[in-house]
Amino acid sequence: MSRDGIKVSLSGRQVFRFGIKTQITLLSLGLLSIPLVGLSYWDDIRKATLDAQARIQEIEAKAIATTLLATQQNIRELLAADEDSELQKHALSAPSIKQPIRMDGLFGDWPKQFDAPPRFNLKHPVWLAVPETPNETAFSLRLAQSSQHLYVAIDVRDNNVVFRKGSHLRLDYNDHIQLTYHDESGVLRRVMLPAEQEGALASYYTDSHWQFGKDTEILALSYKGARKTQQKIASHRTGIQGYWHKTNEGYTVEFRIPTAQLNTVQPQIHFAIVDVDDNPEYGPQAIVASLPKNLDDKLNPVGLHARELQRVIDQLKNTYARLWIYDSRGREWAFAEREPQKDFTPTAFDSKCVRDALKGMVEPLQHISDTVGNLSRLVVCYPIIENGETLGVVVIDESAHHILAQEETRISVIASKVGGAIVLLLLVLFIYAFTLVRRISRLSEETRKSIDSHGRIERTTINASQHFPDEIGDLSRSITTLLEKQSSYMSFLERIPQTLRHEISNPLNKLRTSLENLLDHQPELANNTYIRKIDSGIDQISRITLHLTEAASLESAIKEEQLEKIDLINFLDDYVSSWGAPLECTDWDKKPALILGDNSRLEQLFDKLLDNAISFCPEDGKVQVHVKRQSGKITVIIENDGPKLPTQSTNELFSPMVSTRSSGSSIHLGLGLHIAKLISDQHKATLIGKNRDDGSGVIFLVEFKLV
Amino acid sequence: MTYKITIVEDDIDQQQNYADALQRKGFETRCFSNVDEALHGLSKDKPDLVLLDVVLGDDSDGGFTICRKLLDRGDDIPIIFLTDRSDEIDQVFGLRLGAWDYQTKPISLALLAERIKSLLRIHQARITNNRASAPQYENAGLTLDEEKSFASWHGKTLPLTLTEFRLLTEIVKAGPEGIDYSSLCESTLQRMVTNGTINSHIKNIRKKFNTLGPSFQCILNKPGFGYRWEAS
Repeated sequence: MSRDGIKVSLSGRQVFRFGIKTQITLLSLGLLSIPLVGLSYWDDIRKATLDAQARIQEIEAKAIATTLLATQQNIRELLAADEDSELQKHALSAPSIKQPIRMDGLFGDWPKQFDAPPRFNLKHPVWLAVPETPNETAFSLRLAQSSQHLYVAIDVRDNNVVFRKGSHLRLDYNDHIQLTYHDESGVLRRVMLPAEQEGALASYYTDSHWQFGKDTEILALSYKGARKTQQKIASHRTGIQGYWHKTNEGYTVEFRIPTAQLNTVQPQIHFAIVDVDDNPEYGPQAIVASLPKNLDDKLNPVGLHARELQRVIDQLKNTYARLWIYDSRGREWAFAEREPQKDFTPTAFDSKCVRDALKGMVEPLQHISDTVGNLSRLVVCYPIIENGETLGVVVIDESAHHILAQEETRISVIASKVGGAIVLLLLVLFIYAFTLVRRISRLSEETRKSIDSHGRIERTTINASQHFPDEIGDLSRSITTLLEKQSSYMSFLERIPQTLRHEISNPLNKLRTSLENLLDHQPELANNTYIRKIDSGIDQISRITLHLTEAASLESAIKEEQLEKIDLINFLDDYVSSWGAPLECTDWDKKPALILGDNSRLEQLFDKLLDNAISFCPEDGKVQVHVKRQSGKITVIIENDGPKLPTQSTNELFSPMVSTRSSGSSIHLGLGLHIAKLISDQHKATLIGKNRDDGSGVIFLVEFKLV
Repeated sequence: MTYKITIVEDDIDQQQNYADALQRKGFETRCFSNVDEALHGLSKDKPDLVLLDVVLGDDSDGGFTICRKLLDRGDDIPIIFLTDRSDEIDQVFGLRLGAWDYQTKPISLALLAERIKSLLRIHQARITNNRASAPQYENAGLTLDEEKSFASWHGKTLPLTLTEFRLLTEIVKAGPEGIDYSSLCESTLQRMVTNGTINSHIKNIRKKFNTLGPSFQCILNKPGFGYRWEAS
């Protein structure tokens, strides 16, 4: 089987072989374009997926808004819709945090969004000991909430921090913070946070005098049952945990209150920093509060997550990355997320999406891109509208990656299946190509072997693909039919000489016997020129018919003949001794050379070669016979002076009925070299005819294998 | 004594030529051109020798049919096939049927007459076997009775045709010196004989020797010359 890539001759041109296997392989590779084309549709799929997701989020947000309106009777309260507009200016925001904050008085672990907290200073004092006296007291306030706690960070500027002395029962003879809020039952609670020492923050329930710690009563679950009962609580068991830290400018306080202790329906809280200096018994130097003086009977509204609202969106927290409910003033009333993310910055209420929604815009959708411009989040904001008033907004935020990850998973599953199918298909195609090529090669090989090197048909049946019901099978059967027809034709051609002889023999015999009878009757005609020519002509025709059948008879005869070991040197010595001029023999090595052969056939072979050589040799020329020995071989070389062989191939030279003689009186049917070739083949010898290099004659070589 | 020769030949011209030539040589001839006529005629009047063409009209094996029927009925008549069918298989088949000789056309009438005389003489000699036979030639286990064209090898009969017997005789007589191809061709009493024809006959003779005993190697080829006999 020829290999691809090598050059083959095609109609006289040298071209690179390009086999069917290679062709199918290349075509198969075209199948790989299918996933590539599929990939090009990925952008469309992404867009469609995101559009669909946006619609779903919008519907979901709308459903939440509608549910809230339908199920929460106090929705206006929950979203503080009816809050005093003056008070609302001082509303405090407590955004959600994902990670707990360490209570150490340092604010480094607060998210960045708290970097610019609201500051309260003398513009908001509620009391000054000496009006118009310069006082540096001020504080900044950070609020944050988790699902369990409200976190508070207060950074107080105070150039003279007065600590509580251990002997003082009063809590107001030192710098302290007054914290006021409504507990879960709506009861107003007052807590004092005195400056005691660096470390754990002390806190005490107190009364409206803000002087001593006071035990209190709260409604709490009893140990034995689920019923809530009034329980007395020591003043220091406020549930507040925190840290007091002295700074160069004053001090910081970081603490947390369980949200369970806070009222989440219209939650409110108030902070007041009480600056006490050298003479505490004269009262504080200044009080800076989180509300201005005109609102000193109020508390700051604070956006604590409303449990009622939280429950609604908690049901969807596994569906979306994040959900918020904001009121119309931007306070966060509920927040839920699928899984906390460390580095995630929640959507600012101040986003265009929320603003648009609060304005009742119809496209409450925002696409948020990452730093490199790729879509990272899809945010839908839907307003909560009651009686034409926008109470708040529901925000659903989903990561584009999460949305597409599902599609990517589906696509990758499809791609895997398609890829697998393509690989399988390629494999099947390769196997098919291999099988196809193998079948064609076998057919080619059998077809090649059905005819021998001389063009004779060796067998007429092709077995390869003979019983396949396809085109190759058709080809195989066609070749078989062709070979059978060709074989019949060849048989006909081969029988022509014998048929000719059969047909000629009878009229020839009639002529021969008639002539003999004529000469018997009239002996005087024996010298008649024409009678002699007739006799000569009949002889000539008789010889032609004899020669015609010689090759055919030989072919059938040699099939039956057994070869035996003979000494070729001994044979040649005997053989050439019977030949005279112009034959010249080189004195060859007399060492025996055993070959498998038949004396009479070898004689016939060399008769034909020498007859041929002598007939072409000019009168003054010579015919030479040499013997050349090689490893395992012996070659008899017969060369003669005379005309060159025509430029025919060797096969053509040894074909029957091929003669290079133009004319002559002798019979030349072109069978001599053909017979010589048949005999050399019988002896497994190689017969070659070629011109001398100098063109002065012809050389025939018969190469025998030694045994 | 006038020998009666029956000629079976479908070509009337050739039939007439054979008859004319043989009559001039003193033979009495009767001619038939098809199988039925021939079998009918041969049953009525037994000839001394029969010349048979193989192809008779449309019957491609007519001659073989006549030969088989003649020999089946026990007629000891020399039969010569005279035919255009030169294939070796036809020759072997004809000789195995029991024919004494197989000649392919074209033939020489003179040589044909010689062969006929020779066969009749042999036939006569074999019939009169009890009488004193002509001198025999013996060499290394080979006995040749030229009168009867009979050969035996170490006492066993060699079933040779007339041509083979004549060739063997010539080779044995020539001894180690050998005899050339042209002499051997002449001894066959045939026209158009080639070296290849002689070689074929010699191969057949060797085969027949080998069927009688151990490897026979007395007939040796003299390449380019002919054959020789080495008794050892």
